Amino acid sequence: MDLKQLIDDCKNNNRKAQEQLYRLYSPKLFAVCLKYSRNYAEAQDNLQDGFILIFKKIEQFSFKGSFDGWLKRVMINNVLQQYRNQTFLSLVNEDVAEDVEVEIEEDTISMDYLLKIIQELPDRYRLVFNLYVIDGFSHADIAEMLTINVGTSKSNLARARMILKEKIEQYKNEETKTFPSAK
Amino acid sequence: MSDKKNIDRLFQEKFNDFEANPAEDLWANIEAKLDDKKRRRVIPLWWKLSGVAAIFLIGFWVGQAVFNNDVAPTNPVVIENNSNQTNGKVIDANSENNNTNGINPKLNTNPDNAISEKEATSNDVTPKSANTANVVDNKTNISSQKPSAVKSSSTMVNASKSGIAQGKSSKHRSAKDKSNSDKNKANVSERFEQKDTHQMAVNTGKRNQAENQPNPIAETNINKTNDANSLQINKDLTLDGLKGNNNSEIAVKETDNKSIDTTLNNSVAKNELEELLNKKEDKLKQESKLNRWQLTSNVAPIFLGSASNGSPIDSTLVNNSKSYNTGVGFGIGVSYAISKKLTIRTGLNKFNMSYNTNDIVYFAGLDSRSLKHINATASASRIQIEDDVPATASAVPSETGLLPFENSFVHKNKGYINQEMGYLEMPVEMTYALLDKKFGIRIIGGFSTLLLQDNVVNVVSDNRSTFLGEADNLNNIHFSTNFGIGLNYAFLKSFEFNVEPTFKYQLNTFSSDAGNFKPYVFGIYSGISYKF
Repeated sequence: MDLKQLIDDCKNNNRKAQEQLYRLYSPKLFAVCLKYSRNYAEAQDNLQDGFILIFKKIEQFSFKGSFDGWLKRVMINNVLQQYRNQTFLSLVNEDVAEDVEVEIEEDTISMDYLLKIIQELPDRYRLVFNLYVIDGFSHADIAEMLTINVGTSKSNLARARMILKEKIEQYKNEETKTFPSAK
Repeated sequence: MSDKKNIDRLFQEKFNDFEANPAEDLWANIEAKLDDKKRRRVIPLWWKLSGVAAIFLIGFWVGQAVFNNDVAPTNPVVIENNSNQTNGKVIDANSENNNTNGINPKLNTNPDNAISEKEATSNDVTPKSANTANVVDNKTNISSQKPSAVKSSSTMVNASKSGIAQGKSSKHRSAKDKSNSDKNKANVSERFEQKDTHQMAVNTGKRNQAENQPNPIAETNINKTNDANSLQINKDLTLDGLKGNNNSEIAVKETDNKSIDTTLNNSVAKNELEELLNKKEDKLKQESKLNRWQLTSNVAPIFLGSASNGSPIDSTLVNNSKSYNTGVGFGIGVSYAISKKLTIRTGLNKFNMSYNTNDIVYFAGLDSRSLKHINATASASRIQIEDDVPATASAVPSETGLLPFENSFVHKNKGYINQEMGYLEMPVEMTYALLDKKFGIRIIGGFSTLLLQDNVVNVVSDNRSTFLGEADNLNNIHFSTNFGIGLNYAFLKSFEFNVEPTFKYQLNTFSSDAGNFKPYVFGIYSGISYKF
């Protein structure tokens, strides 16, 4: 089916078209939600709210730029909305941390573990890390999206990297402990 | 296999093509929420409609309740006559009984009704059983008695009906009223009878009451004992009746008890009625909780003008040019919103307006002719004022009021006359909202009553002002018609900023001979209003 036709049908509130759109894009968008959310359950909630928002706002999509990008933006904004105002729940260290290159030893680290350690990051660190590293936003963009300073964004990113690195190393150590022969 | 790698790269690569399937039932949730949203969008419309319907319904209900309340008290009056007449005519043997009946309703017809109703409301079942028992007993009673039996027994059915209806009334008084009134309408032919029986039912009720009286007084709300009592007493009563119309006994009993009843019943009945009224009033009040009242303060520059040239001071000054000064007005107002769009308002404003009659000369004359409509003060009575327009300058000296020799030494001062008027204004205006949002536009129309406060005429030249006197042709009270446009901006929930350019045409400012001077006032009233 033609994508434009599908979008137009969605604009007309056609339930079948909406379902088709959901089937088409939910895996990709759920991945976004998983990365940005605290856990699986919240990711599901955010996906649900995000799709409702998408169907509400699809009226505004004017076929400029890619539809995928638009969907992703709406979804990310939706998730940010959820966590932006909840930063008081997680007190993060706002001290400026040095932005250092964090290098790790590449190994067969499971996807689940990477996702898990991302989700375990404090809200702000997680959002900044995702936005900067995985979705390629600039610090200026992030600062605007999260209503923080550019410096804070950089600092949060650095701290996120440190935490992730520690966790990956911890994971490797445990692996070597449990399977010493693997080394 | 392990080589050093930037942590960013690791995540980028890993998450590049990351996809995950959410739980299967998620779409169902989304669909449900979408449906819910759709439905929610429709609901407000229904709410509006149903709200309107509810208001109509409540209005209808309240109206009917009021109507029935009006009707209720009139019934006993009619009954009184009827019971006397019909019973007097038909039932000769029961005349004594009827007399007592006749008297008792007179004493307290209304309260009794109310009380029997109250009884009905307080103990649901009792009246029904009591009345029906009564009816049966009465039937036998009457059938064994006198020629009126046929009629009475037929009407007794009605009595039982009404008795039951009263019994049912416990929950829905209005419904009961309606059913009663319906019955009355339907049974026009039986009306007298029904009322008669109604009266009798009331009477029996009364008897019960009379007998029961000690109990309700002592233990007003403990009705359980009454249940048994009333039944017993009914039997007693009917037994009495059967035994040969010991009416005198009953009459005595009744009158004795009634005398006690009336005061008590009256007070109780009044309370109940008051409560009902209060409830209704409360409901009405609740309906109208819409921040209907608004207090307004305003201040305004007042521009005076005249629709045509003329002079209220003196006919000789008609052609002089006038210049109008800007005055200041201020006031307070209160408005009441009849509906969302329509408000009626009043208030109190104070303002001053003045104008100058230019191009005059004034001088002291020995035999001066003062201005026609000025009540000159003693000191000002020698000041003569004339038009200084060249056309009139050519007039014959004698006409100017100067004695011939005065012309030679009089010094004429050029200047102008300033007439100032101060008013207390009470506007009564209606406004209709064209736009009723945060920013609003409304049309204002109405009239004002103006009370004269200040009345001063000065003659002014070279910054020197001399008090001439008061104008004698200014009405103490006059009216104006007002028309304006109001702009308001709600900067807080209940506070608004208003600007209201308003044109007020003065109708009868001057009592006589205003010299075609038709003043109007244009004010830009601005202020802050508070809704509550």
